[in-house]
Amino acid sequence: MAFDQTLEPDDEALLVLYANGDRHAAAELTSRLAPRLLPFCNRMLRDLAEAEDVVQEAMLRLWKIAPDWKSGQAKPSTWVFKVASNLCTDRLRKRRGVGLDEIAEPEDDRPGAEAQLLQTERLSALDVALQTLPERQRQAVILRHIEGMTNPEIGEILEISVEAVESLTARGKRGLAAALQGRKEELGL
Amino acid sequence: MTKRDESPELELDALFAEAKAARPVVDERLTVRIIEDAAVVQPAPVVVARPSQGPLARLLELLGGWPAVGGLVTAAATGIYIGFAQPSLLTGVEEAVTDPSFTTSSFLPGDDMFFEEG
Repeated sequence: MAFDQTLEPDDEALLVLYANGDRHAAAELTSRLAPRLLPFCNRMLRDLAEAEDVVQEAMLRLWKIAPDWKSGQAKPSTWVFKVASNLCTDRLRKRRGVGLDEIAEPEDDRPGAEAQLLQTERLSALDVALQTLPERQRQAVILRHIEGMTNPEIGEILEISVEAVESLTARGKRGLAAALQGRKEELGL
Repeated sequence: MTKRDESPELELDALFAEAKAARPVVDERLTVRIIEDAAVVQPAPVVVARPSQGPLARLLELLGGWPAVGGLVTAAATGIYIGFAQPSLLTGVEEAVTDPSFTTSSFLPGDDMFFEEG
Protein backbone atom coordinates (compact mmCIF):
# COMPACT_ATOMS: atom_id res chain seq x y z
CA MET A 1 0.00 0.00 0.00
CA ALA A 2 1.38 3.43 -0.82
CA PHE A 3 2.44 5.54 2.15
CA ASP A 4 0.29 8.46 1.01
CA GLN A 5 -2.81 6.31 0.66
CA THR A 6 -5.45 7.32 3.16
CA LEU A 7 -7.35 4.79 5.19
CA GLU A 8 -10.68 6.60 4.90
CA PRO A 9 -13.61 4.23 4.48
CA ASP A 10 -15.22 4.26 1.04
CA ASP A 11 -18.85 5.22 0.49
CA GLU A 12 -20.08 1.66 0.80
CA ALA A 13 -18.25 1.11 4.09
CA LEU A 14 -19.80 4.34 5.41
CA LEU A 15 -23.24 3.14 4.38
CA VAL A 16 -22.71 -0.12 6.26
CA LEU A 17 -21.48 1.81 9.29
CA TYR A 18 -24.59 3.98 9.10
CA ALA A 19 -26.81 0.89 8.93
CA ASN A 20 -25.03 -0.44 12.01
CA GLY A 21 -25.89 2.68 13.98
CA ASP A 22 -22.80 4.85 13.47
CA ARG A 23 -23.98 8.44 13.85
CA HIS A 24 -21.01 10.07 12.14
CA ALA A 25 -21.24 7.97 8.97
CA ALA A 26 -24.33 9.84 7.75
CA ALA A 27 -22.63 13.22 8.11
CA GLU A 28 -19.54 12.01 6.26
CA LEU A 29 -21.55 10.45 3.46
CA THR A 30 -23.66 13.61 3.14
CA SER A 31 -20.55 15.76 2.86
CA ARG A 32 -19.32 13.52 0.03
CA LEU A 33 -22.49 13.04 -1.98
CA ALA A 34 -24.63 16.17 -1.57
CA PRO A 35 -22.08 18.56 -3.16
CA ARG A 36 -22.07 16.32 -6.25
CA LEU A 37 -25.82 15.81 -6.41
CA LEU A 38 -26.90 19.42 -5.97
CA PRO A 39 -25.24 20.91 -9.09
CA PHE A 40 -26.60 18.08 -11.22
CA CYS A 41 -30.17 18.50 -9.91
CA ASN A 42 -29.93 22.27 -10.11
CA ARG A 43 -28.86 22.14 -13.73
CA MET A 44 -31.60 19.65 -14.57
CA LEU A 45 -34.37 21.60 -12.82
CA ARG A 46 -33.03 25.17 -12.99
CA ASP A 47 -34.47 25.78 -9.57
CA LEU A 48 -32.18 25.62 -6.55
CA ALA A 49 -34.91 25.12 -3.95
CA GLU A 50 -36.41 22.27 -5.94
CA ALA A 51 -32.96 20.80 -6.52
CA GLU A 52 -32.32 20.85 -2.76
CA ASP A 53 -35.60 19.00 -2.17
CA VAL A 54 -34.59 16.36 -4.69
CA VAL A 55 -31.16 15.92 -3.07
CA GLN A 56 -32.80 15.53 0.34
CA GLU A 57 -35.27 12.97 -1.02
CA ALA A 58 -32.58 11.00 -2.84
CA MET A 59 -30.42 10.89 0.28
CA LEU A 60 -33.43 9.83 2.37
CA ARG A 61 -33.94 6.89 0.02
CA LEU A 62 -30.28 5.99 0.44
CA TRP A 63 -30.66 5.99 4.23
CA LYS A 64 -33.72 3.78 3.93
CA ILE A 65 -32.03 1.23 1.67
CA ALA A 66 -28.89 1.12 3.86
CA PRO A 67 -29.92 -1.86 6.06
CA ASP A 68 -30.66 -3.93 2.94
CA TRP A 69 -27.65 -2.73 0.93
CA LYS A 70 -26.00 -5.58 -0.94
CA SER A 71 -22.26 -5.22 -1.14
CA GLY A 72 -20.90 -4.97 -4.66
CA GLN A 73 -24.27 -4.38 -6.37
CA ALA A 74 -23.50 -0.72 -7.18
CA LYS A 75 -21.63 2.21 -5.76
CA PRO A 76 -23.76 4.28 -3.37
CA SER A 77 -22.87 7.41 -5.38
CA THR A 78 -24.12 5.84 -8.62
CA TRP A 79 -27.22 4.53 -6.91
CA VAL A 80 -28.14 7.89 -5.41
CA PHE A 81 -27.47 9.69 -8.70
CA LYS A 82 -29.86 7.28 -10.39
CA VAL A 83 -32.53 8.07 -7.80
CA ALA A 84 -31.92 11.81 -8.12
CA SER A 85 -32.03 11.57 -11.90
CA ASN A 86 -35.40 9.79 -11.77
CA LEU A 87 -36.76 12.30 -9.27
CA CYS A 88 -35.70 15.15 -11.56
CA THR A 89 -37.41 13.43 -14.49
CA ASP A 90 -40.62 13.07 -12.46
CA ARG A 91 -40.59 16.74 -11.55
CA LEU A 92 -39.88 17.81 -15.11
CA ARG A 93 -42.79 15.69 -16.33
CA LYS A 94 -45.07 17.34 -13.80
CA ARG A 95 -43.92 20.69 -15.09
CA ARG A 96 -44.73 19.73 -18.67
CA GLY A 97 -46.74 22.45 -20.29
CA VAL A 98 -44.84 25.15 -18.49
CA GLY A 99 -42.88 27.06 -21.13
CA LEU A 100 -39.21 27.77 -20.77
CA ASP A 101 -39.97 31.47 -20.45
CA GLU A 102 -42.04 30.78 -17.36
CA ILE A 103 -39.16 29.10 -15.56
CA ALA A 104 -37.41 31.63 -13.41
CA GLU A 105 -34.04 32.80 -14.65
CA PRO A 106 -31.30 32.28 -12.11
CA GLU A 107 -31.03 35.38 -10.01
CA ASP A 108 -27.84 37.32 -10.19
CA ASP A 109 -27.70 40.48 -8.21
CA ARG A 110 -23.99 40.30 -7.45
CA PRO A 111 -22.13 43.45 -8.22
CA GLY A 112 -19.37 42.64 -10.65
CA ALA A 113 -17.32 43.61 -13.60
CA GLU A 114 -18.40 43.19 -17.18
CA ALA A 115 -16.48 39.92 -17.45
CA GLN A 116 -18.45 38.46 -14.58
CA LEU A 117 -21.71 39.50 -16.15
CA LEU A 118 -20.61 37.99 -19.42
CA GLN A 119 -19.76 34.73 -17.68
CA THR A 120 -23.16 34.71 -16.01
CA GLU A 121 -24.72 35.30 -19.41
CA ARG A 122 -22.73 32.45 -20.90
CA LEU A 123 -23.70 30.03 -18.15
CA SER A 124 -27.30 31.10 -18.40
CA ALA A 125 -27.14 30.55 -22.15
CA LEU A 126 -25.68 27.08 -21.53
CA ASP A 127 -28.54 26.28 -19.17
CA VAL A 128 -31.11 27.48 -21.68
CA ALA A 129 -29.40 25.47 -24.42
CA LEU A 130 -29.37 22.40 -22.18
CA GLN A 131 -33.12 22.76 -21.68
CA THR A 132 -33.61 22.47 -25.43
CA LEU A 133 -32.08 18.99 -25.45
CA PRO A 134 -34.16 15.84 -24.98
CA GLU A 135 -34.09 14.84 -21.32
CA ARG A 136 -31.79 11.82 -21.64
CA GLN A 137 -29.29 13.74 -23.74
CA ARG A 138 -29.32 16.55 -21.21
CA GLN A 139 -28.71 14.14 -18.32
CA ALA A 140 -25.89 12.41 -20.18
CA VAL A 141 -24.20 15.69 -21.16
CA ILE A 142 -24.40 17.12 -17.63
CA LEU A 143 -23.13 13.94 -16.01
CA ARG A 144 -20.31 13.50 -18.52
CA HIS A 145 -19.11 17.01 -19.16
CA ILE A 146 -20.03 18.98 -16.05
CA GLU A 147 -20.03 16.34 -13.32
CA GLY A 148 -17.08 14.55 -14.90
CA MET A 149 -18.45 11.02 -14.58
CA THR A 150 -17.23 8.12 -16.67
CA ASN A 151 -19.35 6.57 -19.40
CA PRO A 152 -19.82 3.27 -17.47
CA GLU A 153 -21.02 5.23 -14.42
CA ILE A 154 -23.47 7.20 -16.55
CA GLY A 155 -24.62 3.98 -18.19
CA GLU A 156 -25.40 2.58 -14.75
CA ILE A 157 -27.29 5.71 -13.71
CA LEU A 158 -29.35 5.93 -16.88
CA GLU A 159 -29.57 2.13 -17.20
CA ILE A 160 -28.19 2.07 -20.73
CA SER A 161 -25.07 0.68 -22.40
CA VAL A 162 -21.78 2.56 -22.66
CA GLU A 163 -22.29 2.84 -26.43
CA ALA A 164 -25.69 4.42 -25.86
CA VAL A 165 -24.08 6.91 -23.44
CA GLU A 166 -21.48 7.82 -26.07
CA SER A 167 -24.22 8.31 -28.63
CA LEU A 168 -26.32 10.44 -26.25
CA THR A 169 -23.43 12.71 -25.27
CA ALA A 170 -22.29 13.14 -28.88
CA ARG A 171 -25.78 14.07 -30.03
CA GLY A 172 -26.22 16.27 -26.98
CA LYS A 173 -23.04 18.20 -27.72
CA ARG A 174 -24.07 18.69 -31.33
CA GLY A 175 -27.47 19.92 -30.16
CA LEU A 176 -25.85 22.33 -27.71
CA ALA A 177 -23.47 23.68 -30.33
CA ALA A 178 -26.41 24.26 -32.66
CA ALA A 179 -28.45 25.94 -29.92
CA LEU A 180 -25.60 28.28 -29.04
CA GLN A 181 -24.60 29.01 -32.63
CA GLY A 182 -26.72 32.11 -32.96
CA ARG A 183 -25.40 33.65 -29.72
CA LYS A 184 -21.67 33.14 -30.21
CA GLU A 185 -20.87 36.79 -30.82
CA GLU A 186 -23.09 38.03 -28.04
CA LEU A 187 -21.62 35.64 -25.50
CA GLY A 188 -18.00 36.08 -26.54
CA LEU A 189 -17.60 32.46 -27.57
CA MET B 1 -5.40 31.09 -33.72
CA THR B 2 -8.27 33.42 -33.04
CA LYS B 3 -11.43 32.51 -31.18
CA ARG B 4 -13.38 32.44 -34.39
CA ASP B 5 -11.22 29.60 -35.66
CA GLU B 6 -11.81 27.38 -32.67
CA SER B 7 -13.95 24.32 -33.19
CA PRO B 8 -17.40 24.20 -31.54
CA GLU B 9 -16.12 21.30 -29.45
CA LEU B 10 -13.44 23.45 -27.83
CA GLU B 11 -15.91 26.28 -27.21
CA LEU B 12 -18.26 23.86 -25.48
CA ASP B 13 -15.45 22.39 -23.40
CA ALA B 14 -14.56 25.89 -22.18
CA LEU B 15 -18.21 26.50 -21.35
CA PHE B 16 -18.46 23.19 -19.49
CA ALA B 17 -15.35 24.10 -17.50
CA GLU B 18 -16.95 27.43 -16.54
CA ALA B 19 -20.14 25.65 -15.52
CA LYS B 20 -18.15 23.18 -13.46
CA ALA B 21 -16.43 25.99 -11.60
CA ALA B 22 -19.68 27.83 -10.91
CA ARG B 23 -21.54 24.99 -9.23
CA PRO B 24 -23.82 25.85 -6.29
CA VAL B 25 -22.50 25.13 -2.83
CA VAL B 26 -24.52 22.95 -0.46
CA ASP B 27 -26.21 25.16 2.08
CA GLU B 28 -25.66 24.33 5.76
CA ARG B 29 -29.44 24.06 6.24
CA LEU B 30 -29.68 21.41 3.54
CA THR B 31 -26.90 19.41 5.22
CA VAL B 32 -28.77 19.62 8.53
CA ARG B 33 -32.03 18.51 6.87
CA ILE B 34 -30.32 15.49 5.29
CA ILE B 35 -28.57 14.46 8.52
CA GLU B 36 -31.80 14.85 10.51
CA ASP B 37 -33.56 12.54 8.03
CA ALA B 38 -30.72 10.07 8.45
CA ALA B 39 -31.10 10.12 12.23
CA VAL B 40 -34.86 9.52 11.99
CA VAL B 41 -34.63 6.41 9.82
CA GLN B 42 -31.33 5.06 11.15
CA PRO B 43 -31.62 1.53 12.53
CA ALA B 44 -30.77 1.14 16.20
CA PRO B 45 -27.22 -0.08 16.83
CA VAL B 46 -27.01 -3.83 16.75
CA VAL B 47 -26.22 -5.17 20.22
CA VAL B 48 -25.13 -8.78 20.20
CA ALA B 49 -26.26 -10.40 23.44
CA ARG B 50 -23.61 -12.69 24.90
CA PRO B 51 -25.03 -16.10 25.72
CA SER B 52 -24.85 -16.99 29.41
CA GLN B 53 -21.91 -19.25 30.14
CA GLY B 54 -21.90 -22.44 32.22
CA PRO B 55 -19.05 -23.34 34.61
CA LEU B 56 -17.35 -25.56 31.99
CA ALA B 57 -17.35 -22.76 29.40
CA ARG B 58 -15.95 -20.34 31.97
CA LEU B 59 -13.17 -22.80 32.91
CA LEU B 60 -12.40 -23.24 29.22
CA GLU B 61 -12.14 -19.47 28.79
CA LEU B 62 -9.94 -19.23 31.91
CA LEU B 63 -7.51 -21.78 30.53
CA GLY B 64 -7.21 -19.93 27.25
CA GLY B 65 -9.72 -21.68 25.01
CA TRP B 66 -9.65 -24.92 23.10
CA PRO B 67 -6.06 -24.67 21.75
CA ALA B 68 -4.64 -24.28 25.25
CA VAL B 69 -6.78 -27.13 26.58
CA GLY B 70 -5.59 -29.29 23.67
CA GLY B 71 -1.99 -28.66 24.68
CA LEU B 72 -2.73 -29.50 28.30
CA VAL B 73 -4.45 -32.77 27.36
CA THR B 74 -1.54 -33.77 25.12
CA ALA B 75 1.01 -33.07 27.88
CA ALA B 76 -1.03 -35.04 30.44
CA ALA B 77 -1.45 -38.03 28.10
CA THR B 78 2.29 -38.03 27.34
CA GLY B 79 3.07 -38.07 31.08
CA ILE B 80 0.75 -40.99 31.72
CA TYR B 81 2.24 -42.92 28.81
CA ILE B 82 5.79 -42.41 30.07
CA GLY B 83 4.71 -43.49 33.56
CA PHE B 84 3.19 -46.74 32.42
CA ALA B 85 5.23 -47.79 29.40
CA GLN B 86 8.68 -46.80 30.69
CA PRO B 87 10.27 -46.38 27.27
CA SER B 88 13.87 -47.76 26.96
CA LEU B 89 15.16 -44.31 26.05
CA LEU B 90 14.44 -43.15 29.57
CA THR B 91 16.18 -46.11 31.30
CA GLY B 92 19.65 -44.54 31.00
CA VAL B 93 18.39 -41.32 32.46
CA GLU B 94 16.75 -43.16 35.33
CA GLU B 95 19.93 -45.11 36.09
CA ALA B 96 22.04 -42.00 36.05
CA VAL B 97 19.76 -40.42 38.61
CA THR B 98 19.36 -43.46 40.92
CA ASP B 99 22.86 -45.05 40.62
CA PRO B 100 24.43 -45.09 44.15
CA SER B 101 27.96 -44.98 42.72
CA PHE B 102 27.19 -41.63 41.23
CA THR B 103 29.22 -38.93 43.05
CA THR B 104 28.82 -35.23 43.12
CA SER B 105 31.48 -32.58 43.39
CA SER B 106 30.90 -29.20 44.87
CA PHE B 107 32.93 -26.33 43.63
CA LEU B 108 31.29 -23.79 45.83
CA PRO B 109 33.04 -22.71 48.98
CA GLY B 110 31.55 -24.02 52.21
CA ASP B 111 29.74 -21.84 54.72
CA ASP B 112 32.48 -22.34 57.33
CA MET B 113 34.88 -20.07 55.46
CA PHE B 114 33.01 -17.09 56.93
CA PHE B 115 33.65 -18.33 60.48
CA GLU B 116 37.35 -19.11 60.18
CA GLU B 117 39.79 -16.72 61.70
CA GLY B 118 42.67 -15.55 59.69
